[in-house]
Amino acid sequence: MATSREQTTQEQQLPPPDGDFYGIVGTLSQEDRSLLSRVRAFMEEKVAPIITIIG
Amino acid sequence: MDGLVTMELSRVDPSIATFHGVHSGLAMGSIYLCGSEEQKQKWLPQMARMEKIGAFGLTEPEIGSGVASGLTTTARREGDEWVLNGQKKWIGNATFADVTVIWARDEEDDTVKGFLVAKGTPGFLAEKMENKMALRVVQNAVITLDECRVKEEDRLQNANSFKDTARVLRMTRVAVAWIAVGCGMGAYEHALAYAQQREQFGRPIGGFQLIQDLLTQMLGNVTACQCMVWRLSQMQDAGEMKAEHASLAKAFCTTKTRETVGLARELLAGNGVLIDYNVGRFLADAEAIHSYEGTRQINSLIVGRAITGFGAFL
Repeated sequence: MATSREQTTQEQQLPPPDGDFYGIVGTLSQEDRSLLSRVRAFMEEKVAPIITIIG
Repeated sequence: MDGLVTMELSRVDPSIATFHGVHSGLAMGSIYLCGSEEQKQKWLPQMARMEKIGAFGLTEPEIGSGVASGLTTTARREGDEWVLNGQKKWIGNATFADVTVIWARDEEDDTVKGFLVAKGTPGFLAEKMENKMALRVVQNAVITLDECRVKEEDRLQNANSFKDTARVLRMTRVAVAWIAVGCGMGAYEHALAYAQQREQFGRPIGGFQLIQDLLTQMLGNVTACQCMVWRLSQMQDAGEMKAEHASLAKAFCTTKTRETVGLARELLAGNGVLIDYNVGRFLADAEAIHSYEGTRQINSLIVGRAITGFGAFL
Protein backbone atom coordinates (compact mmCIF):
# COMPACT_ATOMS: atom_id res chain seq x y z
CA MET A 1 0.00 0.00 0.00
CA ALA A 2 1.42 3.36 -1.02
CA THR A 3 2.12 5.94 1.64
CA SER A 4 0.59 9.37 1.37
CA ARG A 5 4.01 10.80 0.39
CA GLU A 6 4.36 8.28 -2.45
CA GLN A 7 0.85 9.01 -3.68
CA THR A 8 1.62 12.72 -3.69
CA THR A 9 4.76 12.11 -5.76
CA GLN A 10 2.91 9.88 -8.23
CA GLU A 11 0.07 12.31 -8.70
CA GLN A 12 2.22 15.40 -8.83
CA GLN A 13 2.72 16.95 -12.26
CA LEU A 14 6.43 17.64 -12.32
CA PRO A 15 7.74 20.73 -14.10
CA PRO A 16 9.45 19.82 -17.39
CA PRO A 17 13.21 20.47 -17.48
CA ASP A 18 13.73 23.87 -19.07
CA GLY A 19 17.11 25.58 -19.15
CA ASP A 20 15.61 28.89 -20.30
CA PHE A 21 14.72 29.98 -16.73
CA TYR A 22 14.55 33.70 -17.48
CA GLY A 23 12.45 33.21 -20.60
CA ILE A 24 14.85 34.65 -23.18
CA VAL A 25 13.13 32.81 -26.01
CA GLY A 26 9.86 34.44 -24.94
CA THR A 27 11.27 37.84 -25.88
CA LEU A 28 11.62 36.82 -29.53
CA SER A 29 9.18 37.54 -32.32
CA GLN A 30 6.71 34.85 -33.29
CA GLU A 31 8.71 34.23 -36.48
CA ASP A 32 11.97 33.70 -34.59
CA ARG A 33 10.30 31.47 -32.01
CA SER A 34 8.89 29.39 -34.82
CA LEU A 35 12.35 28.97 -36.36
CA LEU A 36 13.79 27.97 -33.02
CA SER A 37 10.99 25.42 -32.54
CA ARG A 38 11.84 23.85 -35.89
CA VAL A 39 15.50 23.59 -34.89
CA ARG A 40 14.54 22.03 -31.56
CA ALA A 41 12.18 19.57 -33.23
CA PHE A 42 14.85 18.51 -35.72
CA MET A 43 17.46 18.01 -33.02
CA GLU A 44 15.13 16.10 -30.70
CA GLU A 45 13.52 13.95 -33.37
CA LYS A 46 16.46 13.27 -35.71
CA VAL A 47 19.64 13.69 -33.67
CA ALA A 48 18.86 12.87 -30.04
CA PRO A 49 17.68 9.27 -30.68
CA ILE A 50 20.95 8.28 -32.36
CA ILE A 51 23.57 10.58 -30.90
CA THR A 52 24.68 8.25 -28.12
CA ILE A 53 25.16 5.48 -30.69
CA ILE A 54 27.12 7.39 -33.31
CA GLY A 55 28.79 9.78 -30.90
CA MET B 1 19.07 34.78 -33.51
CA ASP B 2 22.09 32.90 -34.86
CA GLY B 3 23.28 32.48 -31.29
CA LEU B 4 20.04 30.99 -30.07
CA VAL B 5 20.00 28.55 -33.00
CA THR B 6 23.54 27.55 -32.10
CA MET B 7 22.46 27.09 -28.48
CA GLU B 8 19.60 24.84 -29.57
CA LEU B 9 21.92 22.67 -31.67
CA SER B 10 24.38 22.37 -28.82
CA ARG B 11 21.65 21.68 -26.25
CA VAL B 12 21.20 18.29 -27.91
CA ASP B 13 24.71 17.79 -29.25
CA PRO B 14 27.73 20.12 -29.18
CA SER B 15 29.28 18.18 -32.08
CA ILE B 16 26.47 19.21 -34.42
CA ALA B 17 26.81 22.80 -33.21
CA THR B 18 30.55 22.65 -33.79
CA PHE B 19 30.15 21.26 -37.31
CA HIS B 20 27.73 24.10 -38.00
CA GLY B 21 30.10 26.66 -36.44
CA VAL B 22 33.04 25.54 -38.54
CA HIS B 23 30.99 25.61 -41.72
CA SER B 24 28.86 28.72 -41.29
CA GLY B 25 31.12 30.68 -38.95
CA LEU B 26 34.77 29.98 -39.66
CA ALA B 27 34.60 28.97 -43.33
CA MET B 28 31.72 31.13 -44.57
CA GLY B 29 32.82 33.91 -42.22
CA SER B 30 36.30 33.95 -43.76
CA ILE B 31 34.83 34.30 -47.22
CA TYR B 32 32.26 36.84 -46.05
CA LEU B 33 34.79 39.05 -44.23
CA CYS B 34 37.89 38.52 -46.39
CA GLY B 35 36.69 37.39 -49.80
CA SER B 36 36.16 39.36 -53.00
CA GLU B 37 32.66 39.82 -54.41
CA GLU B 38 33.40 37.08 -56.94
CA GLN B 39 34.48 34.68 -54.20
CA LYS B 40 31.39 35.49 -52.16
CA GLN B 41 29.12 34.88 -55.15
CA LYS B 42 30.90 31.66 -56.03
CA TRP B 43 30.78 30.07 -52.57
CA LEU B 44 28.39 31.65 -50.10
CA PRO B 45 24.98 30.90 -51.71
CA GLN B 46 25.83 27.22 -52.13
CA MET B 47 27.31 27.04 -48.66
CA ALA B 48 24.27 28.72 -47.13
CA ARG B 49 22.16 25.96 -48.68
CA MET B 50 24.74 23.41 -47.44
CA GLU B 51 25.25 22.14 -50.95
CA LYS B 52 28.92 22.88 -50.35
CA ILE B 53 30.58 22.37 -46.96
CA GLY B 54 33.49 24.41 -45.64
CA ALA B 55 36.43 23.93 -43.30
CA PHE B 56 38.96 26.32 -41.77
CA GLY B 57 42.67 25.48 -41.50
CA LEU B 58 44.59 27.65 -39.05
CA THR B 59 45.95 25.52 -36.19
CA GLU B 60 49.10 23.49 -36.86
CA PRO B 61 50.62 20.42 -35.21
CA GLU B 62 53.19 22.53 -33.36
CA ILE B 63 51.36 25.88 -33.30
CA GLY B 64 48.15 26.37 -31.34
CA SER B 65 47.91 29.48 -29.18
CA GLY B 66 50.89 30.98 -30.99
CA VAL B 67 49.35 31.17 -34.48
CA ALA B 68 49.36 34.97 -34.58
CA SER B 69 53.13 35.13 -34.86
CA GLY B 70 54.23 31.55 -35.37
CA LEU B 71 52.41 30.17 -38.40
CA THR B 72 54.77 27.80 -40.21
CA THR B 73 52.65 26.89 -43.25
CA THR B 74 54.06 28.85 -46.17
CA ALA B 75 52.74 30.35 -49.39
CA ARG B 76 55.09 31.00 -52.32
CA ARG B 77 53.97 33.04 -55.31
CA GLU B 78 54.80 31.55 -58.72
CA GLY B 79 53.27 33.51 -61.56
CA ASP B 80 49.50 33.31 -61.32
CA GLU B 81 49.64 30.62 -58.66
CA TRP B 82 50.51 30.17 -55.00
CA VAL B 83 52.32 27.09 -53.73
CA LEU B 84 51.33 26.00 -50.22
CA ASN B 85 53.49 23.83 -47.97
CA GLY B 86 53.02 22.75 -44.36
CA GLN B 87 50.62 20.98 -42.02
CA LYS B 88 47.39 21.82 -40.22
CA LYS B 89 45.86 19.94 -37.29
CA TRP B 90 42.43 19.72 -35.63
CA ILE B 91 40.70 20.95 -38.78
CA GLY B 92 36.99 20.19 -38.39
CA ASN B 93 35.06 19.02 -41.48
CA ALA B 94 38.25 18.90 -43.57
CA THR B 95 37.97 15.21 -44.45
CA PHE B 96 34.85 15.86 -46.52
CA ALA B 97 34.72 19.64 -47.03
CA ASP B 98 34.28 21.01 -50.54
CA VAL B 99 36.46 23.99 -49.68
CA THR B 100 39.00 24.53 -46.92
CA VAL B 101 40.29 27.97 -45.97
CA ILE B 102 44.03 27.62 -45.47
CA TRP B 103 45.96 30.31 -43.63
CA ALA B 104 49.64 30.53 -44.58
CA ARG B 105 52.56 32.89 -44.24
CA ASP B 106 53.73 34.56 -47.45
CA GLU B 107 57.40 33.68 -47.91
CA GLU B 108 58.07 37.03 -49.53
CA ASP B 109 56.55 39.59 -47.16
CA ASP B 110 55.96 37.37 -44.08
CA THR B 111 52.27 38.34 -43.81
CA VAL B 112 49.46 35.86 -43.22
CA LYS B 113 47.20 35.24 -46.20
CA GLY B 114 44.14 33.06 -46.72
CA PHE B 115 43.52 30.61 -49.56
CA LEU B 116 40.44 28.73 -50.72
CA VAL B 117 41.54 25.17 -51.42
CA ALA B 118 38.92 23.07 -53.19
CA LYS B 119 38.44 19.37 -52.50
CA GLY B 120 40.63 17.23 -54.70
CA THR B 121 43.34 19.82 -55.24
CA PRO B 122 46.64 17.96 -55.85
CA GLY B 123 48.99 18.27 -52.90
CA PHE B 124 46.14 18.60 -50.37
CA LEU B 125 45.74 15.56 -48.09
CA ALA B 126 43.28 15.49 -45.15
CA GLU B 127 43.57 12.52 -42.80
CA LYS B 128 40.95 11.86 -40.13
CA MET B 129 42.15 12.04 -36.53
CA GLU B 130 41.13 9.01 -34.48
CA ASN B 131 40.47 8.27 -30.80
CA LYS B 132 39.09 11.62 -29.70
CA MET B 133 37.27 11.55 -26.36
CA ALA B 134 35.18 14.66 -27.15
CA LEU B 135 33.05 16.02 -30.00
CA ARG B 136 33.10 12.54 -31.42
CA VAL B 137 30.79 13.28 -34.33
CA VAL B 138 33.05 16.05 -35.60
CA GLN B 139 35.66 14.77 -38.02
CA ASN B 140 38.93 16.56 -37.35
CA ALA B 141 41.81 16.18 -39.74
CA VAL B 142 45.52 16.56 -40.06
CA ILE B 143 46.07 18.32 -43.38
CA THR B 144 49.30 17.98 -45.26
CA LEU B 145 50.04 20.54 -47.95
CA ASP B 146 52.78 19.35 -50.26
CA GLU B 147 53.46 21.77 -53.11
CA CYS B 148 49.71 22.40 -53.20
CA ARG B 149 48.98 24.87 -56.01
CA VAL B 150 46.19 27.43 -55.70
CA LYS B 151 45.35 30.12 -58.22
CA GLU B 152 45.68 33.78 -57.30
CA GLU B 153 41.93 34.14 -57.83
CA ASP B 154 41.45 31.68 -54.95
CA ARG B 155 43.47 33.77 -52.51
CA LEU B 156 41.14 35.62 -50.15
CA GLN B 157 41.50 39.04 -51.68
CA ASN B 158 40.88 41.02 -48.49
CA ALA B 159 42.99 38.95 -46.09
CA ASN B 160 46.20 40.91 -45.77
CA SER B 161 47.49 40.03 -42.31
CA PHE B 162 46.64 38.02 -39.22
CA LYS B 163 44.45 40.94 -38.13
CA ASP B 164 42.01 39.81 -40.81
CA THR B 165 42.13 36.24 -39.52
CA ALA B 166 41.44 37.65 -36.07
CA ARG B 167 38.34 39.44 -37.40
CA VAL B 168 36.94 36.03 -38.31
CA LEU B 169 37.82 34.59 -34.91
CA ARG B 170 36.27 37.52 -33.09
CA MET B 171 32.98 36.77 -34.83
CA THR B 172 33.07 33.03 -34.28
CA ARG B 173 34.04 33.27 -30.60
CA VAL B 174 30.55 34.60 -29.99
CA ALA B 175 29.18 31.39 -31.46
CA VAL B 176 31.50 29.30 -29.31
CA ALA B 177 30.17 31.05 -26.22
CA TRP B 178 26.65 30.13 -27.37
CA ILE B 179 27.79 26.53 -27.94
CA ALA B 180 29.01 26.47 -24.35
CA VAL B 181 25.65 27.76 -23.15
CA GLY B 182 23.82 25.03 -25.06
CA CYS B 183 26.18 22.39 -23.71
CA GLY B 184 25.53 23.46 -20.12
CA MET B 185 21.81 23.74 -20.79
CA GLY B 186 21.64 20.22 -22.19
CA ALA B 187 23.56 18.77 -19.26
CA TYR B 188 21.35 20.64 -16.79
CA GLU B 189 18.12 19.46 -18.40
CA HIS B 190 19.28 15.84 -18.54
CA ALA B 191 20.38 16.04 -14.89
CA LEU B 192 17.06 17.52 -13.82
CA ALA B 193 15.06 14.90 -15.70
CA TYR B 194 17.20 12.22 -14.08
CA ALA B 195 16.66 13.74 -10.62
CA GLN B 196 12.91 13.68 -11.13
CA GLN B 197 12.91 9.98 -12.02
CA ARG B 198 15.79 8.42 -10.14
CA GLU B 199 14.79 7.12 -6.73
CA GLN B 200 16.94 6.43 -3.69
CA PHE B 201 15.70 5.71 -0.18
CA GLY B 202 12.20 5.35 -1.65
CA ARG B 203 11.99 8.88 -3.07
CA PRO B 204 13.02 10.73 -6.23
CA ILE B 205 16.46 12.20 -5.60
CA GLY B 206 15.16 15.56 -6.88
CA GLY B 207 13.45 15.89 -3.53
CA PHE B 208 16.73 15.88 -1.62
CA GLN B 209 18.27 19.16 -0.47
CA LEU B 210 21.78 18.42 -1.71
CA ILE B 211 20.51 17.47 -5.16
CA GLN B 212 18.45 20.65 -5.39
CA ASP B 213 21.56 22.62 -4.48
CA LEU B 214 23.47 21.01 -7.38
CA LEU B 215 20.63 21.80 -9.78
CA THR B 216 20.41 25.40 -8.59
CA GLN B 217 24.14 25.91 -9.09
CA MET B 218 23.85 24.52 -12.61
CA LEU B 219 20.85 26.66 -13.47
CA GLY B 220 22.58 29.76 -12.12
CA ASN B 221 25.57 29.13 -14.36
CA VAL B 222 23.42 28.46 -17.42
CA THR B 223 21.24 31.50 -16.85
CA ALA B 224 24.18 33.83 -16.20
CA CYS B 225 25.86 32.65 -19.39
CA GLN B 226 22.66 33.01 -21.42
CA CYS B 227 22.20 36.60 -20.29
CA MET B 228 25.84 37.39 -21.01
CA VAL B 229 25.83 36.06 -24.56
CA TRP B 230 22.40 37.52 -25.24
CA ARG B 231 23.81 40.97 -24.49
CA LEU B 232 26.98 40.17 -26.44
CA SER B 233 24.93 39.31 -29.51
CA GLN B 234 23.02 42.58 -29.16
CA MET B 235 26.36 44.40 -29.17
CA GLN B 236 27.49 42.41 -32.21
CA ASP B 237 24.29 43.24 -34.10
CA ALA B 238 24.75 46.92 -33.24
CA GLY B 239 28.36 46.89 -34.42
CA GLU B 240 29.60 47.67 -30.89
CA MET B 241 31.32 44.38 -30.09
CA LYS B 242 35.11 44.40 -29.76
CA ALA B 243 37.48 41.45 -29.56
CA GLU B 244 37.69 41.71 -25.77
CA HIS B 245 33.91 41.48 -25.43
CA ALA B 246 33.81 38.23 -27.39
CA SER B 247 36.85 36.88 -25.57
CA LEU B 248 35.37 37.53 -22.13
CA ALA B 249 32.22 35.63 -23.05
CA LYS B 250 34.14 32.75 -24.61
CA ALA B 251 36.43 32.41 -21.59
CA PHE B 252 33.68 32.84 -18.98
CA CYS B 253 30.98 30.69 -20.56
CA THR B 254 33.25 27.79 -21.41
CA THR B 255 34.67 27.82 -17.89
CA LYS B 256 31.24 27.95 -16.27
CA THR B 257 30.04 25.20 -18.59
CA ARG B 258 32.84 22.96 -17.45
CA GLU B 259 31.65 23.54 -13.89
CA THR B 260 28.02 22.94 -14.87
CA VAL B 261 28.61 19.64 -16.64
CA GLY B 262 30.80 18.55 -13.73
CA LEU B 263 27.93 19.17 -11.32
CA ALA B 264 25.57 17.28 -13.63
CA ARG B 265 27.98 14.36 -13.70
CA GLU B 266 28.14 14.46 -9.91
CA LEU B 267 24.35 14.34 -9.69
CA LEU B 268 24.19 11.24 -11.86
CA ALA B 269 26.97 9.62 -9.83
CA GLY B 270 28.16 6.46 -11.61
CA ASN B 271 25.65 6.84 -14.41
CA GLY B 272 27.25 10.18 -15.21
CA VAL B 273 30.19 8.49 -16.88
CA LEU B 274 28.00 6.39 -19.17
CA ILE B 275 27.41 7.82 -22.64
CA ASP B 276 23.90 6.33 -22.50
CA TYR B 277 22.84 8.98 -20.00
CA ASN B 278 24.11 11.85 -22.20
CA VAL B 279 25.70 13.87 -19.40
CA GLY B 280 29.02 12.08 -19.90
CA ARG B 281 28.99 13.20 -23.54
CA PHE B 282 28.41 16.81 -22.53
CA LEU B 283 31.17 16.47 -19.94
CA ALA B 284 33.70 15.42 -22.57
CA ASP B 285 32.50 17.97 -25.12
CA ALA B 286 32.83 20.82 -22.61
CA GLU B 287 36.55 20.06 -22.40
CA ALA B 288 36.97 20.54 -26.15
CA ILE B 289 34.85 23.69 -26.25
CA HIS B 290 36.93 25.14 -23.44
CA SER B 291 40.08 24.80 -25.56
CA TYR B 292 39.15 25.42 -29.17
CA GLU B 293 39.06 28.83 -30.87
CA GLY B 294 41.28 30.32 -28.22
CA THR B 295 42.03 28.81 -24.84
CA ARG B 296 40.78 30.55 -21.73
CA GLN B 297 44.29 31.85 -21.17
CA ILE B 298 44.61 33.41 -24.63
CA ASN B 299 41.17 35.00 -24.32
CA SER B 300 42.13 36.29 -20.87
CA LEU B 301 45.13 38.04 -22.42
CA ILE B 302 42.89 39.70 -25.00
CA VAL B 303 40.64 40.97 -22.20
CA GLY B 304 43.61 41.82 -20.02
CA ARG B 305 45.19 43.97 -22.72
CA ALA B 306 41.95 45.90 -23.15
CA ILE B 307 41.29 46.59 -19.48
CA THR B 308 44.84 47.33 -18.31
CA GLY B 309 46.29 48.94 -21.40
CA PHE B 310 49.24 46.54 -21.25
CA GLY B 311 49.75 43.75 -23.75
CA ALA B 312 50.98 40.58 -22.04
CA PHE B 313 51.37 38.42 -25.15
CA LEU B 314 54.82 36.94 -25.65
